[in-house]
Amino acid sequence: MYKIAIVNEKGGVGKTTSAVSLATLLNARGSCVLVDADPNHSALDWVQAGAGMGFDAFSLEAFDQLEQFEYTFMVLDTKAGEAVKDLVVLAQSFDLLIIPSKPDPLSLRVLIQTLQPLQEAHATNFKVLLTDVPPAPSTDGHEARMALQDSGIPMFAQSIRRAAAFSKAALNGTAVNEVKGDSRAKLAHMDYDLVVREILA
Amino acid sequence: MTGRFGKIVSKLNDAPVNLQTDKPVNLQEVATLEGETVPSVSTKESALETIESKQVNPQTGKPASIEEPVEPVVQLEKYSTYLESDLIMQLKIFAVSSKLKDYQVVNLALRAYLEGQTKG
Repeated sequence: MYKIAIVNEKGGVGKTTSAVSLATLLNARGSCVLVDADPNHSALDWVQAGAGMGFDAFSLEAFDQLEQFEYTFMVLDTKAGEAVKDLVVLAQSFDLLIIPSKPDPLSLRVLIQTLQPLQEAHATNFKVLLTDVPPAPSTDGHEARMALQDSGIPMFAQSIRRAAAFSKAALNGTAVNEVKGDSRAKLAHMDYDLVVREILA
Repeated sequence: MTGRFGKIVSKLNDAPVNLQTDKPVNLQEVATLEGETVPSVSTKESALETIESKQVNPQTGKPASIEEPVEPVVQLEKYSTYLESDLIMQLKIFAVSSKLKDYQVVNLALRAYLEGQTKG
């Protein structure tokens, strides 16, 4: 089983959106389980808002009770402000830590705080994913990428564009590409598809 | 192990380890020997193997079930026209009662009409 954890000290950076979108796409390639470790259960709310999204989803507590499981992929969605020691434990136990971050100065400052304990623990299995990147003429995404790359922080080549369709998908309990009447919905879904390709490359 | 993720981590790390390689062995092999059903543990490589071994629908790129017969692909094209109002209502009622889509009823009716014209 290939295990991915989505972490960031900051809330509202796209952890749950990334977890649900990646679980949807990974489940098309092999069986995937989504484990929601956020006490707000935002990911579970998303999955249960509709007719189901094709993959199994459990709270952390429910998953802890499972005696047997067999999945090709696991995606763990964490809460904002996880304890530093827990982040290090996840880095040691999971194959990949994805750290979503918006390209604004406040998010980037918290991102550096999140990365610090991982770098101190000499973890190398983490990658930053820029999310909610505004369209041109804004250059926020480009500038953030340049700054992070200059700092030697490992990043996904693909960014996730800003799209209102993510909120609609969460309300409907569907994948973002199933949102009707939004031309950016499919493009946003394709962004995550390219991220999955990078993960599996 | 303590912390919020103590249980999940020990659960994931419970896999038997090959002492020579220090890597988890495939639990499925152990299960076969012991006659038990246990979850398999694999890495990215085996995850990729699973993906590759799945039959994939070339159109959607999604895994296709082996049992399900592959339906022939019918090319549909959006086409708008005018119909009498009462005919539209009858079409919708017929479609609902026959569990068909509106366009399927129009397709069937038009095909039947054109075949009738050809024979006549």
